[in-house]
Amino acid sequence: MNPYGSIFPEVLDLEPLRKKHIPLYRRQERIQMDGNGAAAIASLQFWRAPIYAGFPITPSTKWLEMISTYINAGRFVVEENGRKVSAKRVKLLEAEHAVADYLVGAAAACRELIFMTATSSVGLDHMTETTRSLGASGLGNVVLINVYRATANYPLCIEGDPSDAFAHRDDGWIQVVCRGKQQIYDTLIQLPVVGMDPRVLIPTMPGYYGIKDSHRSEPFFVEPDSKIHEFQDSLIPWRCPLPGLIVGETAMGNCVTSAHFQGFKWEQKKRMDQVLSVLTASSKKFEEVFGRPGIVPFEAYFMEDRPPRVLVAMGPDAGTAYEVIRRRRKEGERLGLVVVRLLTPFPSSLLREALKSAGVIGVVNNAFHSERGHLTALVSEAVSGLPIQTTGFFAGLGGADISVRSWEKMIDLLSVLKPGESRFVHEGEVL
Amino acid sequence: MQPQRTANDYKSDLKPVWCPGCGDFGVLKGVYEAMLNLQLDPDKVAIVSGIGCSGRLPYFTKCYSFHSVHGRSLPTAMGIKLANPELTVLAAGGDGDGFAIGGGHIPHVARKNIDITYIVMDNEIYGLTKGQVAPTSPLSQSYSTAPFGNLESGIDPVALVLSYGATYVARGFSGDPGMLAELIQKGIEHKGFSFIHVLSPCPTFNKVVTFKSIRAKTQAVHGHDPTDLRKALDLALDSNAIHLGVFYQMEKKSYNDRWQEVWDQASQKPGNLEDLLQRYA
Repeated sequence: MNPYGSIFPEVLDLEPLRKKHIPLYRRQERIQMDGNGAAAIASLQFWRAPIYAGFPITPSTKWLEMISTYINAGRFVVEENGRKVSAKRVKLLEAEHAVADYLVGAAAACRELIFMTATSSVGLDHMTETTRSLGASGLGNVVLINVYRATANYPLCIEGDPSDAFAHRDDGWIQVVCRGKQQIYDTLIQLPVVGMDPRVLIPTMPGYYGIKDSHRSEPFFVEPDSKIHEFQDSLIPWRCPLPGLIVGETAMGNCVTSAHFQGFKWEQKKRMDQVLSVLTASSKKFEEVFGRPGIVPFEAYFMEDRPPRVLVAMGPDAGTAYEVIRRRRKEGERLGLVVVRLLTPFPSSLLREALKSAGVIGVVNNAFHSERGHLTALVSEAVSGLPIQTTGFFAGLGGADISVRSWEKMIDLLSVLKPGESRFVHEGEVL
Repeated sequence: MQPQRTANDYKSDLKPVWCPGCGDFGVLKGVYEAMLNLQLDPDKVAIVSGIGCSGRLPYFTKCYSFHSVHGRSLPTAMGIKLANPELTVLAAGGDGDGFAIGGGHIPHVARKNIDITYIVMDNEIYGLTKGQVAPTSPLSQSYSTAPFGNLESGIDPVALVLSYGATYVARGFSGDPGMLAELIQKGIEHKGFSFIHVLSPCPTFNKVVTFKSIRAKTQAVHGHDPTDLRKALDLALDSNAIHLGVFYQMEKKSYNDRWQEVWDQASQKPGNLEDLLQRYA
């Protein structure tokens, strides 16, 4: 038996679907939109994405409304057997859980196509029963856009806070953080090819911060659909295998004994271990095709001279950190900045190499954690055994802006805090 | 002697923040009036809501309030009632919260006959998120996510909850807060699960279902025997008019009453722990 399942080339003829695609863009253009719009435009440009699923609340993510607006405007209407049909559709379901299960069914039935949804916070939590099994299923053709919000915490707050992303860190998905509309757009294009690579076959969860990135507009470049197809088709196999099959070559989700379960998990881990190399190769190809950098595990700024003090952050507020550090370096302070993008699998080895010369690291957590912070824990593990003092900060919780004064304060505290200590910082004050 | 309470005793300092003309104002007024008429102690009332515009309702009262997550107002309310049966417990939500994401809970609270009052404000759309198709949206009607017409049939909340075995089922209209207050009052007084379906227009995102259109289609229930379930279902399924009033009311033991009975019997002949554990040996 083929452990990755048989491929039945006659079952699904992809060519008519590919031919039905009506491009949104025929040349590169610079447009202005918010983050949900950037994600929606990229999603609509895939010929492999005929159905978009969602539940309109908990809380709402405008991605789905943007998708349905374009479809409703008749942008994808084609003639088929003398009748006009839409090559793309939206399917609304009655809850996020139903959306996740719907994606499982659709993705298993058509492994070569991309099935997408967008959700947030408790909406993602409501999917949990399915996201955990989806993560292991081998259905790398599912893309879940997570708009980070604090709602998954208590009390209710819809602003950007990655507590939802961290809560789902161990669901077995590839999670990539975006900041800025160009990154959102580019990540949406690149990430499915990583998830659908036959060595990986893991669903993907691109994410961006609610309000700060989802609802704020900025200009970005959109690429012609044909170029996106060229990029994706060069990396996605025409026929995708499916390692989630349990017994025989067509059965999914069977109940198994511990022996089979353990072997399955070993396979799953092996596939997750391939992500970094596949991501790196696809980023190289992305840059060749589009002329912009592809997804990196983390962004490193001012690290060339191996600065002794480094801040590790994620999300859109890192832009403010960049400006603060740039100014302080002009004043003679050797400071560095690392902005994490790949949350799962966490790029521990690469990060260890980048940080090995630092004396003190301050890790900035934007989500509440009952101990030192999710990101602090991950970074501390990455540099464990090295003579580095790791301190942590909580800032920007619930989507609060991290002001210049707050970044200044955190930099100042790097020299004061003891290893392992953490502080809440807001508007330049320690809470 | 306890001084007579006034409406202000039930109103919080927060001003309602719904859109101008929202039907939910009328529902809030009905809730205030029902509590006033019953002279309930606000300290003995808990109001639970889910997600949606209606989810804000408890904020505007001085009762204990709990804004739960989407679709989960009923299990939360059930937990409150079973933990503290002395409290009067109300749950409030919209049609999406109740009949989509939370739809799985209604039959079970109904069949258990938990003594809580559930008020569903139905505007036939998802209002908070700007007018998408909801579970009570009628077939073929146009919405932001179905501009050429809804492909799915709408749920009939009254017929559905009657068939689930609820012991008090009524329908009110937020344009008639006086009648609504009466229905809510009766629901609170009813010992068991009471369900009040409220037609509550969203003037911002649903331009079809309005106060005027509801007035034109509705009529008060007259000469109906509320203990007759078949006739209640006939009224609910009447395609000529939308009826307002009490459809069904049947006195049955509530879950707490049954639990007490079972416990009274069981406590007469307690089992031997060792013998019971032997079953698993």
